[in-house]
Parts: sequence; C-alpha cells; structure tokens
Amino acid sequence: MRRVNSYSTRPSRIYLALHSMMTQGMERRGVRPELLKGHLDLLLLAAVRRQPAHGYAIVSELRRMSQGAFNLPEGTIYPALYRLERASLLASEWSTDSGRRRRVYRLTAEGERVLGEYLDEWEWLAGGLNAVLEEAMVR
Amino acid sequence: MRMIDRYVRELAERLPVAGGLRERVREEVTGHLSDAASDLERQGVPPAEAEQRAIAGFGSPGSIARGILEELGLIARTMAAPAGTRPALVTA
Repeated sequence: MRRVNSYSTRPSRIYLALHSMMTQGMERRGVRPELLKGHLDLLLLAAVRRQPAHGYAIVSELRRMSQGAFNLPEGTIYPALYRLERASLLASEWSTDSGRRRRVYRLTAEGERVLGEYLDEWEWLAGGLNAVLEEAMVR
Repeated sequence: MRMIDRYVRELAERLPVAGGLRERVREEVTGHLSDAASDLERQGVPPAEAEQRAIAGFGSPGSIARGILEELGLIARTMAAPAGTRPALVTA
C-alpha cells in the first residue's frame, strides 16, 4: 500500500510537506487539540532531524519552524518523547551545558525511516484532500 | 521552596521509582521549567511570575503524569486515541 523509499536522497521533501502542514495551521485558534496530537510524532521526529535537542529546545524549535502556529502545551511532548525513545525512533543522553544537565534527543536511523513513512502518508492524505477540495470548491 | 521544585515534586510523586523514571522526569522537567523561566526573566518578567508562567505553559502535574504512564503502557488509556495516534510502535 505504501511506497518504500529512501529519504536520505530527498531530504527536501520533508521540509516541503512540513511547510504545507504548518502553514495550514497558521493563525488558527481553537483548533481541535487532537488534530495536532495526531501529528505529534511526526513533528517531534522532524524537530530533531537536523540537530539533536532537549525538550525545551524542541518546543521552541517547533514554534519557530511553524511560524508560531504550533504552540504546544510544553509538558505534552514528554510522554511522546519517552514513547518514541522506547520504540528506538529517538535516542537520548544527558548533556551538561552552563551547569544545567539536559536530556538531549536525536533521531535514530529507524526514526529517519519512520519519518519517511509519515511523510509518504502525509503526502497521500494531503494530495487526496486537496484534489477533492479543489474540485468541490470551484466557484 | 521554589514553585518549580514544588511542581516537579507533585509530578514525580505520581510516577514509579522503578527503572529510574521518576528521577529522570524530575531532572528533565526541572531543567525545562528553569530554562523557560530564565528566558522569561531575560525578557523582563519578574522571577516569581516567570516561574508561574513557565509552569502554567507546561500543563498540570496530573495530566502530564497520566500522559507519561499511558504512553509507556503503564496504565490503560483514559479514552480512545484519535485515529493515527495509536502507539503501534511501542516495543515495551
């Protein structure tokens, strides 16, 4: 059902997909929380893809990358981070910076592969929705 | 006692000691809230208010602890997760 392919050869697709996902959420208030929650795994994996980061930095990075659209209740990322780590999609270790120990998360090879699958899924969903809406909303 | 420490203690009390989970969460969340409060202070927010706002932006200790326990499969989910969020990847 799903295409299997290598994302290391086409990293820019991830940013394109995330960009379209995020700009659609921009400036929206009162969005159903489950709408974002359904994509939290994808967001967390994507947030640490280029640069490992601790939890607070991940929240800040997602806010910046989404141009302010995704302002998550900060604590809600930790349950998901722990689950993703247990599933070996993320790995983490303590790092000491300016006297404060922080748990830094990085994407594993398996995480990279799953992120690619999410991307495929997202493109399929967004492409189908857009096609239907474009035709339905003409005039 | 700082408000952050009190918050973290309330959160940690709800988590099991086994496997180091409680200690890990305690240290990680303390760091997170301290970073958040420091950033607010740099923007001119008074220290006590900065701590309060950092905590308010984090979520209640009960809901965060429940989230952690649910996601790690230590307690049953309180309600059906929306489609697409089922943790099919948990290896536990």
